[in-house]
Amino acid sequence: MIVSGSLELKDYMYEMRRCMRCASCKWLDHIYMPDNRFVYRCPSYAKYYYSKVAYGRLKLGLALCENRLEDTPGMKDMVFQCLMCGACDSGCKRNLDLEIMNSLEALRGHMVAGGRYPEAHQRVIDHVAKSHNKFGAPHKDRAAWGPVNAQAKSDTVYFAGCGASYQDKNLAQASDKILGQLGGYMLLLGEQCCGHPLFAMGHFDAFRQQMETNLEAMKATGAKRLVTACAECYKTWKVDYPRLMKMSTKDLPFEVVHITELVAPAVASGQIKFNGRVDMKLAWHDPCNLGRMSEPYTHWEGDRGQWGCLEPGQGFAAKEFNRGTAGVYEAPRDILAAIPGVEVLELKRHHEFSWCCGGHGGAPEAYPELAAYAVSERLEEVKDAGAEAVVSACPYCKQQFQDGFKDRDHKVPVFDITELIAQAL
Amino acid sequence: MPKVTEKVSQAAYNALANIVGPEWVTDDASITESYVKGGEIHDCIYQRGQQPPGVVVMPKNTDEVQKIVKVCFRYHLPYTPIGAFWGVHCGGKVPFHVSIDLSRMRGLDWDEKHMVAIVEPGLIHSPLQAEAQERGLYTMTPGGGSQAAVIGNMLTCNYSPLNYRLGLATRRILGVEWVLPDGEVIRLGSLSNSDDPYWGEGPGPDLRGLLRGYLGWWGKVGIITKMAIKMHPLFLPERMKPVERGMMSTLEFPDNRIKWYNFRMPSEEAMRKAMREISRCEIGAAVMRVPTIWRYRGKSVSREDFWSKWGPDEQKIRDGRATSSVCRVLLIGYTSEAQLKYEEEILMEIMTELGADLGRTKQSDQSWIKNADSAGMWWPAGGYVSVEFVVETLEHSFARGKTLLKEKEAKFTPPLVDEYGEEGWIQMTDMGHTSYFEFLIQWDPEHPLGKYKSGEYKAWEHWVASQRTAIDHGQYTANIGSLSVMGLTGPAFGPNYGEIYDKVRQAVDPKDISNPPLDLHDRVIEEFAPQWMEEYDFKPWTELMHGGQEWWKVLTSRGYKWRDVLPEWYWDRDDKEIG
Repeated sequence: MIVSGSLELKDYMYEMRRCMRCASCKWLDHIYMPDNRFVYRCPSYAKYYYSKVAYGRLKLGLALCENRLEDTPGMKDMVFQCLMCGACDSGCKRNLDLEIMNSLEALRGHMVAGGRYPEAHQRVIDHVAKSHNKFGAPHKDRAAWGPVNAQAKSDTVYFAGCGASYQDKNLAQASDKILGQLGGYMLLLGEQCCGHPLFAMGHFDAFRQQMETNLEAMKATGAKRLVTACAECYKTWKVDYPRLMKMSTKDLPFEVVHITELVAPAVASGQIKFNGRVDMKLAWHDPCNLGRMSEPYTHWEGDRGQWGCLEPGQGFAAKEFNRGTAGVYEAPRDILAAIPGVEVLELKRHHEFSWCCGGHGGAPEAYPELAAYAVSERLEEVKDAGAEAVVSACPYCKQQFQDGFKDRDHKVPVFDITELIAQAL
Repeated sequence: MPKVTEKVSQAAYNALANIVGPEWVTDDASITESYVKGGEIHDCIYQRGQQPPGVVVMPKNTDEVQKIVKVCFRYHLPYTPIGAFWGVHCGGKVPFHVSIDLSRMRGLDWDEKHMVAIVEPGLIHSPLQAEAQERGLYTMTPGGGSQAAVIGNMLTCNYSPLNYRLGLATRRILGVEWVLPDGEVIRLGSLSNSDDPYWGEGPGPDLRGLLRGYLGWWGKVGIITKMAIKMHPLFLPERMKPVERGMMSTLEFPDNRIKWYNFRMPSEEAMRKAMREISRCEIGAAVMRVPTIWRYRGKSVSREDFWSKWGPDEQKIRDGRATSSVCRVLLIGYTSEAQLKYEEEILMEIMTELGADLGRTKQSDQSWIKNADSAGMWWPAGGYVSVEFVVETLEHSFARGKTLLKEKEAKFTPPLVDEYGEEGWIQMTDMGHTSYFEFLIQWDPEHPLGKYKSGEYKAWEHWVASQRTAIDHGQYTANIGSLSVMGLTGPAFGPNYGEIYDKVRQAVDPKDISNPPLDLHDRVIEEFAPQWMEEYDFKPWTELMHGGQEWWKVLTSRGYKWRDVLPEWYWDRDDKEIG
């Protein structure tokens, strides 16, 4: 039987066998191929070459499952020198329609189960276990960013996340201001790290603990909606939690929304009016975890029949297919375009084949050279577009961009979209 | 007798590392493992026998390639050059070979004035096309796909419907830089006496034909590190805009300059006449008959969606009401809108006279201008291969299709996918002076139909059988080069095509180190399916020839068999019957 979203490597044998190295996981969509400069979608391959891309990792996974390969000195790097950004997955869906991202996640889990993972990841895992955030900061300071508009009781819970709580408090404060205009919110008492870094690093047991703690806290609020401004938290609540609970996103007892999904319709209806003017050409960066990685999860069980077709099991409808195109793409673009004075520029790699900022998958901790390379490439695109600022919707993207500009001659301001919205209110 | 290097020695490894730096050479099995094609896509034919390399090395320029090849020559290391690793034939076959991965060499220079692109072996088609269009130029994207390396593809098939107007791509090869298997660098065309590669002919004999052969050498004659390619002036004032995303992303055609037409023809004779007449009138950019199954594939959003449409439509397709009766034509107003209008008038006149009905079609580049979805050929069933792809006359195309269909339906369906009487892909090339024919088969490698455990085994046999049918019916075949069962087709074409092949190989690659071996298929059949030698009436290449088999001689003298050098799992899929 096939269970969608399985975390077991052996459940992806079909994917690993059927991959025939077409390299759609590596190249940008050919229709959208802009030039010979920005040709890749996979930062890992662009940095390291060889077969350090999904097709290579699937071949490795297959060899491991078939017991054809022992541990090698380079195996750990082969698996973990990857941003887990999902660009490969949307590429594969263009041609072979295999579940590449699930396979890579399961491969990491397989490696972790065998004790083969970067030492630098252990520190993050320890931080989350002890301090409930990835930075190792005191848990008691989590809400020290100073909520102003939080209410004791609301149908909407604001989940700040580690990044906005500790690293860039502006984002939490901006979200507070925005949500105040949209009818208020309540905090999640006892909020802990959503577990995103643990999941991306392949530590599924530790992730499950975080999930259970947060879900219990959410249940206690009785709220109908959870809103976050962090792309990683958004993906975790919307996709990974239901996935581990073997349910579809639509069956969660509460709605998970990104703050841009609240603001965009409010702007369209006139509930939110931008009074401030921001005269700038802005480059919009699609965060991986807001876009291609955050399609609603559909739980599905069944079998693979003739021709590889998926046949639904008892009680399950035909599988819905994720293509990476149903994430949140237009809401932030619509919001930015509505701010007086703003001109929104598209980067060459956008939407589901957006280039990752480098801040994910445990790379900044274990492979800082990969993280630095990825953001450096993205900033080349920003320069190429002639943008006067770059905007995203994830604290880790913002941090990556800020770090990336440090050693460059070409510098432009970096914003989180919540900051711009709050500024324009 | 050359000495087989069973494992890359530390001395050779160090020599390679000294050339490229330690970062760009590896023997780590977690990486080398993935330097086989995989997906079992062509296990039935070209990929059979592939195995991981002992070492992967990644040069960044011609100088490094030359030095690497010299090391291989000195240590007698077999090597396999890799461009984009799309061609399924580029995986190495000899144990512990060196993969020379040319992906870092992705250079692209322009001589816009003379409409020439100078490319390196790691460059693929879609960025070439994108940059060309920025300069008011274009080329065609081959059937091999946008992800195919330009040089690798130019040296092998490079077929495209646009070859109707543009001619075979190989004729657009100009100056070439070529590292021979002994490490010597030669330059062809105007590169032989200048640094300007704008001209294909140079002093002395034109070696471009030797370089490419009929269907390419598949890396057998060394490594091309630079090639100049003739481009064409773009027919559009602006770049075409991408629309939609995901599976359905495409380039929208401006309908005043480029337009598709689908005509339903009343009979096969009308189809032939239409294709001939369009060519005779010298109109159009592409003229073809596309297999029905690919039309269904193009309309489907998933594998399940495809089968939910294809299966129930069986009777409709058998009755000929589907698209194998469709003549698909692309018109381009190369110089003006008026040209498109003029050609459209002629096309309509031809089709009206033949009683054809104009159907609907999308006005977009589903394939061929910038994108070619050859990578997507696998998803409907899991396994796919083209058992034939050959350029001859239009009459030959139709005849070859009937021959192969008869064989396929009689002996190989199931487990091959039933295409309800489909006779293959036909298109006009060279303004109708020649015609391209391709016969594509599909199967499910995981869950085969019928009594055979392995669908790909029958696909493999169908490929061997197709070569026999070419000989028996006096038809031409693509399977006469190093791709083929040389013992079968070699003696049947020319004064033994195999002998010519081997003589050239010995002259260019005396140590047989560049992507060996030549006679792979014969060897595998001899061990794996010896009954076919009687059934299809041939002697393996090894009994016919005396040279060019050093690897095999040495391997067999040491007791090697395929079963020894290939992993155990490889042999799980064989001709065992179920139940």
